[in-house]
Amino acid sequence: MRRQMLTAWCLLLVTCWLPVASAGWTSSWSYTLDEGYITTTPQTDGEHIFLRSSGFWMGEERPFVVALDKSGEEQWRHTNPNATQHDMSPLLVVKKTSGDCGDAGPSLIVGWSDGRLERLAPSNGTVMWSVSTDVNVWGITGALAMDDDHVVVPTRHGLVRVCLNDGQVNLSVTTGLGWRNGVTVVDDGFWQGDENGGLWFVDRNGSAELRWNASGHLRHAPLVVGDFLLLHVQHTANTSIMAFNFSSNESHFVAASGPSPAIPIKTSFGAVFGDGHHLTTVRCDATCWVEDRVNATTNGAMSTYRDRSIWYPINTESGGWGTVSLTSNGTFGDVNTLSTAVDTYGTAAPLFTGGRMYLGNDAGVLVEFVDYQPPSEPFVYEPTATIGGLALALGMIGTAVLARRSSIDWGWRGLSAIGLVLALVMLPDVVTQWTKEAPVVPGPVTEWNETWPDAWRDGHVFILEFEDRTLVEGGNRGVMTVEELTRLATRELDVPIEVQTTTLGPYLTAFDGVEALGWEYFVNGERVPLSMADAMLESPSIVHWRLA
Amino acid sequence: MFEAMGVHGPVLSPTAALVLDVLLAGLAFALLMKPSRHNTGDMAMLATLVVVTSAIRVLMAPLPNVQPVTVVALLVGARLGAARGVAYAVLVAMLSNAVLGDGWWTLFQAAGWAAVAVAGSRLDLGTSASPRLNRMALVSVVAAFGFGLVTNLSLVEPTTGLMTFLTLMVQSLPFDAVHAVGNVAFVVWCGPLMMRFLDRIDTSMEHVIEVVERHVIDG
Repeated sequence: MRRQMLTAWCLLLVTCWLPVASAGWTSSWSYTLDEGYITTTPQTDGEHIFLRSSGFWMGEERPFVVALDKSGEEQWRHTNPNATQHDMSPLLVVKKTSGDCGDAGPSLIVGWSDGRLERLAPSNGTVMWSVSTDVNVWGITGALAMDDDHVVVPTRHGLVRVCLNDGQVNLSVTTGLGWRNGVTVVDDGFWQGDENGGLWFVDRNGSAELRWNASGHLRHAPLVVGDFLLLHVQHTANTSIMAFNFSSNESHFVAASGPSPAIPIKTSFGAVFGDGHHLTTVRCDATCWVEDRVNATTNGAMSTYRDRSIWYPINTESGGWGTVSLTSNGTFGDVNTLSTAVDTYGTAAPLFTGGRMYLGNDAGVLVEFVDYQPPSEPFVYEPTATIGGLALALGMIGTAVLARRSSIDWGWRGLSAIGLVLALVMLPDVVTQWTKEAPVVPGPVTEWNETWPDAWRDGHVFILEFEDRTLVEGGNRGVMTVEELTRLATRELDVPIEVQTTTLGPYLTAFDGVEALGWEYFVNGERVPLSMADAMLESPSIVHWRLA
Repeated sequence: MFEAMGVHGPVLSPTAALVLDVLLAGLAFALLMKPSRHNTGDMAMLATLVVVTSAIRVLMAPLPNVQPVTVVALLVGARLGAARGVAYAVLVAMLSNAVLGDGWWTLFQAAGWAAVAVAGSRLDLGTSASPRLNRMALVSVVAAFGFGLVTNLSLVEPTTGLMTFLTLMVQSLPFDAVHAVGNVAFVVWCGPLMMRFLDRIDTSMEHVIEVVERHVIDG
């Protein structure tokens, strides 16, 4: 009986191993901004991925727009030397337009926090025209919109309409003070909200009319669903989802919701709203109502994937991205999360294009993921895993045969040996995952030292503590792991290091020839029981090496 | 005497390290001499076991936390008794750490394996003719986690609280699990063989006693 059970177990393990878990998103490359955050959704023209950096710029650095090719290599970069505030206006990619003001080729439209509006050539970043709009601390912060051959721009106090071909402003209207208040284009004009809750309609002659006051902040472009404009009105501690019937000028309350709303998105059935507490689907007919609601936390932009799911950044310290499936009538399915090695706060929605997904967050890191779809895309075997899997399968089969035909002792020996090999092979990954779940051992308290230069604040600080001296290097950017930071900082400090390769990753044996009983490191005062290559850094971090 | 506190507890000064080594060696010597009825062959076989398992431990050091010594200590305790099991544990810890790195932790590794040996002496793990492998494997799994607990004590500093120590224990669980899997593999592969080898030592000791008793009777 025991022999049969052992045989069955071996065969079961073989069958469990063969369908290696390869379905789902697989990361392929990443790109790290030198400075700043990624707070707006990446955009693409099919050839490039466009990103913009965002931050509060105090030093010499300034925000920029960057174009990457499909392998993540930077193709061009365009910097705005005058912008110093956070840039939150999403980039707008336009293919071609033609109309009364002329034909315009492919364009990348950028609205800056200093009020400047620029049309860039997507292929090389050349500025084709530039227009200034009004500024009151901030300039352009909301979403741009296309109106045939014109681009409509939410300015600080209203909106402007600019010919895409030549940059001529042919409509400039004052409404209310705006912040992140995108514009919605309809047949007879434009809708726009403001910071005082005003909902404005601007007709094509430039006449502005305050149509309703929502008593809160309107910080997104109104969504047109049927005869209604759907609005997520932001209050001090919560929000209201409201519907405004633009035919009858009547409004009604749809639902109360959580704080800090995300930018709602329109769907085939209605709209999806997000905030600090919920994702909510809303449908409209003669009136508007909540169709479904799930618990979620998101405060930035959201996106849909294949019209079957909503993806959103989780704007918390632990970060990550949430996804929830969606039916055609607006009912939510299961909520799942996707974690990456660089999870942290984030407000940029994922970009989906050509079976690929691009995730950017406040760490300033953009990661490309490839969607593995077994029926439609070829499976790429990883040789080592395949060889290992085959060896394991053969070992299991051999053990099963031994247990069945020969001595059961040899069956147990084979099984125990395979178990040990598996345990050793899996240990690095298990430890990595375990470390994320397990509590952290506190180390030396490492706080910001006021004597350090302010320029270091947005980068990682590296502390190397010898017995007789301590070296500090700061402002390190563009690194993702403790190993990368250590190599970069020691190069700057001119301190040679010695590293051994082990089964658990690189092991640093000596700084400047000093080995003693070994070295240990702490990230933000916490001991990380991982190889330095596996210890990811969330910006900005303080990494402290000291003698064990 | 302690120079500094490090990740493995206090960093010992050369004098402290020497004192610790002398104490450990003296403990092992005392345990082996008591009772004083061993013959030279018995001692030589035990010494051989210490050297061989120390060498195996050194050779297997690149494999994280695969510790063949734990199972051997268990079986030495079971077959030769607690005293020689503890002596074996102390000597193996000292000898192998002479290569792998000596320090404060040697004391805790010796204590951990000694505890395993003592536990083995209290358990019926069968004989070489009929080893109780299931029980041996189960005990070796428990021993892995027990050894981890004892050696984690070497990380305790004066400022370490209970929660910090528990956190250390939780963080080390994957390594303890590998230790346990390795122990089971050693039991399955080498358990019966080790039992037969240890029985020969045991038998040689019984033979000495038998000869001595016969001489007494003859006298």
